[in-house]
Amino acid sequence: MKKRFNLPGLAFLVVLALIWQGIAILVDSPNFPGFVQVIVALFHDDTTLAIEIGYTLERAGIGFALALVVMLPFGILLGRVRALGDLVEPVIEFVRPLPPIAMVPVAMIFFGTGDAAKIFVVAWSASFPILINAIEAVRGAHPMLSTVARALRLSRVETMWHIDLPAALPQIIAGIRLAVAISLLIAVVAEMLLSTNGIGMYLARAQERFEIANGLAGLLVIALGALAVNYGVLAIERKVLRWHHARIGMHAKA
Amino acid sequence: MIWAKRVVSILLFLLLWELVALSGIVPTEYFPTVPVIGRALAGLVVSLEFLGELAVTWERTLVGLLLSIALGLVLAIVAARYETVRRMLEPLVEMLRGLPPPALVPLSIFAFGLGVKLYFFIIIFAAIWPVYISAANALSAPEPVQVLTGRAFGCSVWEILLRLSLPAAMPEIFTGIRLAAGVALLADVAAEMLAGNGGLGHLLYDAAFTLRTADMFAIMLVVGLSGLILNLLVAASRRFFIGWHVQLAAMGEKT
Repeated sequence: MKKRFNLPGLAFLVVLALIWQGIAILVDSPNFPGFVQVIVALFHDDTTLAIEIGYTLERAGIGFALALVVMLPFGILLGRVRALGDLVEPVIEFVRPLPPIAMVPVAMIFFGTGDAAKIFVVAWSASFPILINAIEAVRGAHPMLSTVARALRLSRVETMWHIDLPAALPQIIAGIRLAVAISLLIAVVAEMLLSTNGIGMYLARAQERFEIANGLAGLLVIALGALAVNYGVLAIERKVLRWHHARIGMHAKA
Repeated sequence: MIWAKRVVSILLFLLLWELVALSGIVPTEYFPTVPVIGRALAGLVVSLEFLGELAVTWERTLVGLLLSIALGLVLAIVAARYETVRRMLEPLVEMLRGLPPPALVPLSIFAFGLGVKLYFFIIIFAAIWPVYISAANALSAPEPVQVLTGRAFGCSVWEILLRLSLPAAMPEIFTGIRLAAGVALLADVAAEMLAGNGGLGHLLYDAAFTLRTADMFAIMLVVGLSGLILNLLVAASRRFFIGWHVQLAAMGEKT
């Protein structure tokens, strides 16, 4: 993968920031902060922002980890044991279209407004991409692989661990990437609705106090955080799936 | 056959729910039994007020989704035509895509008030990226044979893009639209929960806060069904617009 420095992209961002600043100077109102004011607010509030995004990342991380630990084995099991999968899948299809945010009230009733409620909602919403991709990936694996497993006289659990998991990994990781993005998104929204602390709460508070520059600074922090997490996941993916990319590379000539 | 299995599975799920509710592991006022939820749902469905709120959510979601599709497609076509535009937008798109759309609600209230513009903005912000990204990717990598054929017929660059590459990219674009539809409903319900001012999200939040749990679960069911129906609508329009592709793909496969 060739990584070129994206000059037009960067230039466009700078131009946008300049236009924004220009309009802000023209409008000259505290309700329309310019780019510079937002950066000032960002550094003025940097410790608070760092602490709040820390809470958010922690919740998103725990919720995501919970979903991964429970749903990955479950998905492989459902993909491998057909009868079980057929039984459970309609239920998954039944609850999946529910927007994850609709789970916030349920979580509130059962867990209150503490950490547990937010982590539950994050785990719930991160579960589906992992679960569905795991099921699909195991089912879609090359039929030869099952034959090999049988020839090697592997037990069912061994088959799942040594054959299904690696074979399904590329697609599962696609699901995991989606789940990571969703975790962060839902963590922020859950904090906005069940406010105690975290960056979502910070945003809600900035609105109540009419601190628009701070609100925009908070958004900037979330965007940068999401970008960083995304790159981190990509880096891990490239490492874990090196064998897979190497094989793809042999077929494609790009 | 497949339907029978589905029905059995859903019935088992309801049975499990009923058992949990009756067992008293969780207080029944928090976890109502199936008939209670069913009655709440029936009560909602016949009330004009509820149907009005349902229509509000659907209207916002559908109009917002259509706007996202239109904007995303136009942007993608321009980006596919001019490589520089594509590269210009790249970091901006990456950054904006990472923002949870509901996080924009507080500041957007300042900009748009509580009117319909607020919801459209949030929905577009959420749903435009899947459309733009799938369309830009598909349009920027056209089949060389198609482009060469177009050129041999003396088509201009724009003609090739709009009359050859765009139809060829439709299947991929519809994948993006399908994603966008789900995201649009999600963003709308979230915005309604945060900003209030009507819609299913507002009702849901209200029901939860006043501990009307049966109503809450019933509304959740309606939201879920709305998502399902929206998905079916996208699938139907996909068949309408690109049925030719489905037939071609079926011919290619040996199902």
